[in-house]
Amino acid sequence: MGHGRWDCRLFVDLGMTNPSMLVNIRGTELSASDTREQYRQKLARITLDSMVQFVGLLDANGTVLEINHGTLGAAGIQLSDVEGKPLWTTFWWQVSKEINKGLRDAIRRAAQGECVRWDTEVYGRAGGKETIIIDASLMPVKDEYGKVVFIVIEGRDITKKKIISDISAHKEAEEASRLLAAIVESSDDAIASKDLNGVITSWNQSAERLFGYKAEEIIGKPVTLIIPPELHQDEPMILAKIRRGERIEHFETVRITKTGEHIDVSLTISPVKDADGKIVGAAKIVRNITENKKIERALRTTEKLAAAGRLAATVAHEINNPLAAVTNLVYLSKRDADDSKKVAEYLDLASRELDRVAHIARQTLGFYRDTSSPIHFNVAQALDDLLLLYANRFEGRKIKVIKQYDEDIQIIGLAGEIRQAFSNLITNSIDAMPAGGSLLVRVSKSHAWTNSQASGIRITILDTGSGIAPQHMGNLFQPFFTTKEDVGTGLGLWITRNIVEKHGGVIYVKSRTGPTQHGTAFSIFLPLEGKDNHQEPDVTTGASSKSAISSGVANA
Amino acid sequence: MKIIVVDDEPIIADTLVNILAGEGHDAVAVSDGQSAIKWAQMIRPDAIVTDVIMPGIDGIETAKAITEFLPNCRIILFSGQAATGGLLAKALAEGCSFEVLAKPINPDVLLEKLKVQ
Repeated sequence: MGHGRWDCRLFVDLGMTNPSMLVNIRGTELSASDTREQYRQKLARITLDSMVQFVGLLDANGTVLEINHGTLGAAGIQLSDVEGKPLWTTFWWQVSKEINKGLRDAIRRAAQGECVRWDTEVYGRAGGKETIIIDASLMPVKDEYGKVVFIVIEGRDITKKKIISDISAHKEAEEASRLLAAIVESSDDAIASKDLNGVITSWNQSAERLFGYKAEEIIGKPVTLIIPPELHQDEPMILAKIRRGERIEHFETVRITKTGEHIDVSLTISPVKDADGKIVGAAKIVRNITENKKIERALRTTEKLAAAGRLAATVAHEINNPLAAVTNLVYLSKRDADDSKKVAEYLDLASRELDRVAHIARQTLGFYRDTSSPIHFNVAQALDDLLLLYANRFEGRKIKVIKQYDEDIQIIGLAGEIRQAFSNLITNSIDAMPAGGSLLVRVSKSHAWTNSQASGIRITILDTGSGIAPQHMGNLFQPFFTTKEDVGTGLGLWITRNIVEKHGGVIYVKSRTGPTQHGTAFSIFLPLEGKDNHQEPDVTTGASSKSAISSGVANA
Repeated sequence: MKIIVVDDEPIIADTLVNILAGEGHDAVAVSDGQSAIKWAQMIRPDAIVTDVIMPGIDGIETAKAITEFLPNCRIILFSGQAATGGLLAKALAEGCSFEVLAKPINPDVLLEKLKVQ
């Protein structure tokens, strides 16, 4: 292949027909006398200079060795303006500190052999303020030992592409916000927003429906317009939380509509931040829970009625038995009117039965109130009286009673009430042993479980009955809680606890429901000197569980 | 008439027995259904007067057990409790219908009932 043929082809390709004509492109002269090597180098030069993208060669330290002609021309500078200078000191890279640092970091990485590519903003012309965005890359060039000796820099102007993609991103964002607005508008929950001064800034259709205010009439008005006057003090609290960036969830409160109707609502309020993350207001979702509240109230009333019904049934039953006995005794008294001894006996029994009726009425309807003053009384004696009272029932059910009294201990308290507390526990034990068993009644000197300084007595009433199911332990001392649906009022243990606490004491229960090991033990601690004895029993606070009461289930 | 009176309240059972005895009946008091069935097997009574709601076997179960071996025995139940309604409905569904008196029973009414066969 001869040299001349190469020449010919080139000249033909360049559209030149006269091979003798010299070609000069930006100072690179092609000549027919060039050697093939010279010729190729010149072509490379022409290629480089003709490129519109940024092409340059740096040494491994980032010093400019060469930059293509197209780039220099576009920038309005000569190679000599930048040759020998670190690239990051050239005008292109002075847009910002970050951009400059981005280049230096890239050069450092390229010098270590890494190919680096990134989008960056640079100045387009020396002395100009206009910037362009380039897709820049640094390619390390290694020598035969693998050492980086040069770095090739390329940069393609992608400003237009970037603008187009920004526009489409903006369009997407607009589309998304339109969609969000549509969702907010069509939501079934009322959604509104307010600024940090409590002025309403937005109001959706559901809010219009719920409150009766149109968006245009309420936007710009204070939110207190929909808050009942008595709750106005809540608003500064809500705003303060929002300012701290806190969210308020499911806050149940009352709001007021345009027509003045009070509605039960559940509020969820979240802080709204601007693009810089600064809290500028709050968005609130308002759910109308008026119906739920109505149902809740109806349910509570139903529960109360059911409890009252159970109480009435119990009273009827409890009163019926003594009434039946009295009816029979009156009949017998009339029949045996001539036998005054017999009549006296019947009347005596009848009056005892009537006492029972009175006792039941007091216990179930009025919560036994002992109006007498606290007195010294003997606990063992009080228990003995009770056990005697129930002797018939123990006998009927084949319940064996075991008494363990340490010694005769006197305490100060309301004898009638304490007797009733014991009585409730003993009757529970009887009910728990329909098929017989043992009842242990123990009285011993003791100290308060929480305070060893406080001395008092401990009364334990233990039965071998069926035991209390673990799921019932938590409700044991709640009023109207009963497992004896037909006969229990669910007041006994609640009353007992009230009496014990009123005397400064504590009550504790343990129970087992195992197949062989079963039964229940109630322990009561009473201080020797009862406290607050003159205070009336507070029936209303009895329902709240107090920490002094604890219950546990022993291993079954 | 041989009568068994069943009530877990001894005073009610005892006074009823006393009343019935005054009218010439041969009455005995027991305090639960199980004892009533045992006594019924022994003395084969003409009538059972029983409370419905009792610990252990209730009055209706007791009556059903007794009528099985004494089909002609009169059964008079008495009850003062709402729960009785449910128990009776159950018994009726099983084909047993019993006379029920409201508690407290008027002794004269009971005595009249026993006279009418």
